[in-house]
Formats: sequence, C-alpha cells, structure tokens
Amino acid sequence: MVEHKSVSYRLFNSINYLFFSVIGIACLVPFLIVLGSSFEAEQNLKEAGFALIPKQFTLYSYETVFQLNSVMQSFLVSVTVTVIGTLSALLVTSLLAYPLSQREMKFRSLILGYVLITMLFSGGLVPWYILITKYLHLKDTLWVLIVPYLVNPFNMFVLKSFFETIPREIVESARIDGAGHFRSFLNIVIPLSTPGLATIGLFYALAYWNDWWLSLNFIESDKLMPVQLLLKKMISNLTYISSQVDTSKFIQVPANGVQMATTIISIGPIFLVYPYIQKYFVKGLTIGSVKG
Amino acid sequence: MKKVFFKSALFLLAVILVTVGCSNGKGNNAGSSSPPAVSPEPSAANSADTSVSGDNSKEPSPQKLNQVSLKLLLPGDKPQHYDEVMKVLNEKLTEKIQATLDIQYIPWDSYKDQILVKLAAGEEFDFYYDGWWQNYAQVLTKGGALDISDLFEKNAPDLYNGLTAAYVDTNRYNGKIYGIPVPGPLEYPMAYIYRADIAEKYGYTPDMFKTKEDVQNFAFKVVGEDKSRVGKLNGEFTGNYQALAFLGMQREYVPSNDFNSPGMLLNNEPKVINQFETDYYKSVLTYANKGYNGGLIDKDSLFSKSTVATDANTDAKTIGGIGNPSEGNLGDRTAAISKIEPGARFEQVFLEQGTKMVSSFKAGNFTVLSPSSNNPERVLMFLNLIYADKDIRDTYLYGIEGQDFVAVGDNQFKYPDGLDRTKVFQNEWWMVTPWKNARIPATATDTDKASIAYITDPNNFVKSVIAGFEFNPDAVKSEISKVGAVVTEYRKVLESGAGTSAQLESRYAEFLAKLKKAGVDKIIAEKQRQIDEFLKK
Repeated sequence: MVEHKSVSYRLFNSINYLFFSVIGIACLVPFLIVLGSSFEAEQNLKEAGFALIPKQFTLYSYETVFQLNSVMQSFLVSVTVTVIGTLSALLVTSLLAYPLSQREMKFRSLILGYVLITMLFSGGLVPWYILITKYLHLKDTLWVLIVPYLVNPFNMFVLKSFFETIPREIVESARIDGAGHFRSFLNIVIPLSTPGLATIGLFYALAYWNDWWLSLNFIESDKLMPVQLLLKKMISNLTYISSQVDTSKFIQVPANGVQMATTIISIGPIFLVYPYIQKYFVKGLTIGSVKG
Repeated sequence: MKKVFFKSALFLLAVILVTVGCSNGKGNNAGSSSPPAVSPEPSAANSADTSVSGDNSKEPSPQKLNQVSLKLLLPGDKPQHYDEVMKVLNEKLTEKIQATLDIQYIPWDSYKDQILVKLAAGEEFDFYYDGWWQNYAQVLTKGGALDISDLFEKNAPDLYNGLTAAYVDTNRYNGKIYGIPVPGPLEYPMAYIYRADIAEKYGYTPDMFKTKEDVQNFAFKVVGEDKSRVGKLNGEFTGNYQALAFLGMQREYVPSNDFNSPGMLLNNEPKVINQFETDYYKSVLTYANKGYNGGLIDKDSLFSKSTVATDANTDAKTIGGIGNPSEGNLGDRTAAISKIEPGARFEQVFLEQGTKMVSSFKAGNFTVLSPSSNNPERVLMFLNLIYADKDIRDTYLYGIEGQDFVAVGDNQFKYPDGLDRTKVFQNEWWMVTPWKNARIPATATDTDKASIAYITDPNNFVKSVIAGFEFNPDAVKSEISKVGAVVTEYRKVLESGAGTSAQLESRYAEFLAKLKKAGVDKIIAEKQRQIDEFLKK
C-alpha cells in the first residue's frame, strides 16, 4: 500500500488525470459552443461568431425549429424506429447468437461462416437497392428503416461470445429440471446476459438513431423522414451552396442558430440514454476478458 | 427436444434465406430495359382506352389520353407550400394533358449518386435534371438517358421550335437527342460586385474599376481608413482565380467535366496549356498574396465555410468581390444588407467588357428522360406546356400568385410583403425551361439587367474552335485522379494568398513539382492529342 503513495505513482496519476481532462475538455467544448450558440440571437452570431455563453439569451432558434411541423413528425419517426428497431434487433440477434453459442448445434461453423462472410463482402449498393425496392417492396415504408439493420454480424459475434461465457452447467441444470431450449434461453440465459444485451442494445439504438443512409435511399414521403435526414439535408444543401462561386444560384441558408438548435435536438434523446446504460456498458466492455 | 429445436432453427434460417435472397415472383422487370407498354395504373383510367403509346400519341387529344402520373427528380430541398402548389398545378395539368406531376427532391450532395443508383436499379421515374457540372456525361455513357430523337419534335413542338433545331443539334450526343438542353448564360465574363454606397463615400465611380488592380487599390483605401471592413470576400477561393489570372483574355477550359484537371485554351487557339504553370496564374497568386498581407482578407477565411453565396444576404462587412456577374439578385442583396447596415447598396461593373468571350454555345443544363419512363410522350407534352403556357409555367416555377409571388409585368416577380425566398414556393428555371422564360426579381438593378442581356446575347461571344469537342478521360484516368488530389490540396492555400511571399514562392514550386510527378503533362498531351484528332475530322 505504501508504494501507491510514492512520488512516481502520484506523478503518473496526476499526468493521467491531466491528460484525460484535456481530452475531455477538447470533446466537451465544441459541444458546449453548439449548445451556447443555439440560444444566441442570430444577429450576434453574425457579428461576433459562435460563443460559449450567449450574450443575449433567446429561444428563437428553437421556436423556429419547432414551428416547422416536419421536425416534430420526424422526431416521432426517429423515436419509433429506434424503439421498435432496437427491441426487434435485440430479439433477432440474440435468437441467432444463442444457438450459435451452443457447441452441440449442427452446422454451427457453416452458419458462422455464412454470417462472417456478410461482414467481409457485400453485393454493393445497386443490388441491395434492387433487393429492397423491387423484391421486398419496402420502399417508402417504416419497415425499411428497421429491417435492414436487424442483424449486425459484429454485434451477433459479441453477443455470441457473451453467451458462451455463461457456464454450461447452469443451462444444463435447467434442462435437468425439465426446461426446453426456449425456456432455458428466456428464463436463464437472458436474465444472466443483461450486460451484454444492454451493450448491444445501445449499439443498435445508436445505429438506428443516427442513421440517415436508409432514409436517404428509400424514403420519399415527408411523413416518414427521420430527424437525422433532415439534418443531413440541411448540411448537404449548405455544402452545395458553399461550393458555388456565384450568387446566381443563390439559395437562402438556414440561419446559424437554427442549425445549432437542430443539432442539439437531434442528439438530445440518445444523449439521455447513456447514463442509464452506462453501468451495463462498462461491464459489457469487459466481455471476453479473462475472469478470475 | 434438442433435435426439434435445431431443426426448427434451421428451418427458420432457411425461410429467412429464401425470403431475403429470392424473388417473390411478382414479375418485376429489374433486368430488362424495355418499359412496359401500358400504363402502370390502367384501372384509374377509362378502361376503354388503356393503350396510349403508339398510334394515339401522334395526335394527342385530351379526351383520349388516360390519366398518368409523371415523376420528376430534382436536387435540392422541397420548397414551402409544395402540396398546395402541386394540387393547383395538377388540376391544370390534368385539364390540359391528363397528367399529374410528382416531384422528389434529393439533397444536393447525394443527388449524383442517387440518380445513378436509381437508374441502375431500373426504378420507375419519368424524368430528372442533370448537367455537365453534375454527372450528365456519366449518365450518357451508362445509358441512363432515353433517346428522344424521334419523340421530341412530335410531342413538344413549341419547345423544339423555340429552342431551334440548330441549338438542339449542337447539343446532340453521338448524333442522338438525349437530354433537352436548357439555354442559360453562354459564358461568365468576370464582374466586380461591390458596395456602391462605400465606393461613393470614398469618391469612386463605376468607371474607375477597370482592372483587378483598381479593385484592389479601392479595397486597400477603404480598409486603410475603416478597420471594420473586410476588403475581399470571405471564404475560400471565392471568385474564379483561374479566370482572374486570364482576365481580359479569351480563355476556355477543355471540356472534360472535371474542373480540377488542368487544360486550357487561350485566345481561341487549339493549343492546350497547363494553366497552373503560366505566369498569369503566378501573377494572380502574387496579387492574392498582396491582398492577404495588406489585410484585405478576413484571416479566418481559410477555415471558414462561409462564402459569397452563403453570406450574400448576411455579410455586411465585405466591400466587394470579383466573380460571375449577378443575374438579377443585386436588388435583393441591397434590401437584405440594408436591414443590417442602413444605406447599403450593391452594384456591379464588368471587368472584361472589351473581350469577346469564347463559348461553345452548348447548354450546361439538361432535362433528361429516364429510360424506365412509361410515358415519355406525356413528359414531353408537359415540358412543352411549361415552355408555352405562361400560367402553368408560373405555377410550376413560382407557385400560387399572391401567396408565393406577385407577378410584375410579364417577366418580373416579387415576393409578397414580408416574405422571402425561404418562405415561398419556388423551383429553379435552369432545370426545366429556357432563361428567357423565367421571371427575374422586380428588384433587379439596371446593372443586373444589363448583365443578363450581355451574357445571353450571342453577339458578345465568339464560337470556340473546339466547339462540340468532348474530352474522353479514359486513357489518363489515374493521372486525373492523382492530379485532382494535388490541385485540391494546393489551390485553396495558394489562392488564399496566405503567408509571406517567400512561403508562397516555395509552395508554388512545390505545387508545380507535385503536379509534374502526378502526371499532369500526360493529361495535357492527351487533351492536345484528342483535340488535334477532333480538328482533323
């Protein structure tokens, strides 16, 4: 215990703290600037630029954003997709991962290989597009925002290795007591796997919430447009305008404050998820590490 | 029990594989390029008359046509009041050609990719916007445009005659008509757009701006006396520095649809030069450097995303900039900026009045019909209506009168009181119909109007010696991408003028060396070779 208070230990510790504080601040400050600017009056943004603390506190940007009825609608779409998507993705992924974690499963390596291949190769954008629009007829439906991400092979492998850490004896004893595969999965394995499921759930929730790619490709109706696509569109059109050297094709840019407010709104909900999942998340990170 | 579980798991997997991997057998024509002959919704039409293609289309009479929906893809953002305007427009269209219009707007920076994906997937849509500066060349080589050589004149006679057969022929590709050209400005001579109120205050009159040096001296004078001003435009290389380098000379980029690959012609002679290697280009870097070190430029400009286009209506500090001439928005800018700084006023002067610019007289923008369109005749009828029917054109371009715009005379418009561009419906004319058909803002200044008249009058331009030539980049593709990367990396820094003149010198030398290494000479030689071959024919 004494050596823990040695000079070198303290030095190491303080450098550590200092280093990570700097990194932490570097991550936090831009976010705070965005937050501060979203409350700043537009005129000040033009004249003085972005600032941490608004000179003139106003909710104007937020009012403008919420006046566009499409934002609330998009918000609803995003929330629906994230909730339904995460739950069903967890269900499907764990139903695939659990059998694959059982050694006695027939054709196990074959199926594992099949899943692995999808991580390494893909048919490309056009075949994928044709599959979804022409064969599955999912274009412009809510399902197109959910179905393509139901199984992420990487998440499946993480979950599979998590299931493998659950002692076989526990499952076996359940079997002896007469539980079938489904019962032992639902009543024994799932409750023991909350850290793993929470981690994967967070991955899925983030993926669903942050996604604009699916909606960009497959959604035409305004009613089904998730909030990230709105943001993406705004930035995309802004980039286009900036690339124009002349003002002839001039298009009015959304005010800076409105951009900032939209950014804050779009990260809001997912931001709130972190504190609740964090404790599982830390456990989840140790998945696969050697346990004493 | 165990067996049952694994069997059912396997079965489930098999079912998933089958549903995901296979056709559901509804007979989609994913692979075939020929569109079905009948309308996709025959039930919606009067059942006696479902086959419209063929004989009937020769003499389109409204009664005999079945109702169809035309789908148009455009880049950009869905305008305000879209649903209301479309309702009104579609009533009019139904009355005239038994058709309704449905527009899908795709964000600008994904537009090119989305078009290619949709075309490759054989998705059903009828027409879309494209241009050389987008990916028209790529679309043409990939067969993404419908050949309308036989349909155009028959179904859109007013449009065809209005464009003139000669103009349509200039814009043929491989002898066929694919896209319908949209005539706009022929070329852009450089103009200085500046704050006239400031110029007046310092005793400058428009005729005192003749060269780029005059412009710079004016800026020096203003910034010297008023530190709050920014001498030049904010942002990265705002204004075309390559054009600035050859100001007052006949110049032309070798048409390659790749703006970063070097290759220019001067004085309308078929000799390809590397513009970055000329003294002209170097002199413009020295010019920029002088401006930068003289405090003309906002020092943040290298990192700023804002440009003259993004800040046109919000930037009250900058006193002016050289760039493409204004096309009717100086009045709007004046109105917007004078709200921030009372008394502000914008004007422009042409810096190249004496030079006849070179033009290929070709269109840059096209309305293209999709090969998967079920109703190409109807699309052409629609475009014909947009061209010939003022009422329908106004609705399509500017929305509902009174709500979205107020017509001023025959060819001007203004926004209803208290509204601006962001709050009303508006579509871009340059995606569908000639410029002369569009309205200009009623606030346009006299210099605006003079500029529009100038850049659309063929008499102010001479025909390029290589008009009709199109560079085929296949032979030097890898060089083009390497050179493109070097150009992108260096241009921004060089043309900002940042640093000392010694730094500029060494950076410029480095730029040229890297260009050489990346194979710029091979590109120039290939362009020259293809041009020589073209001229022999």
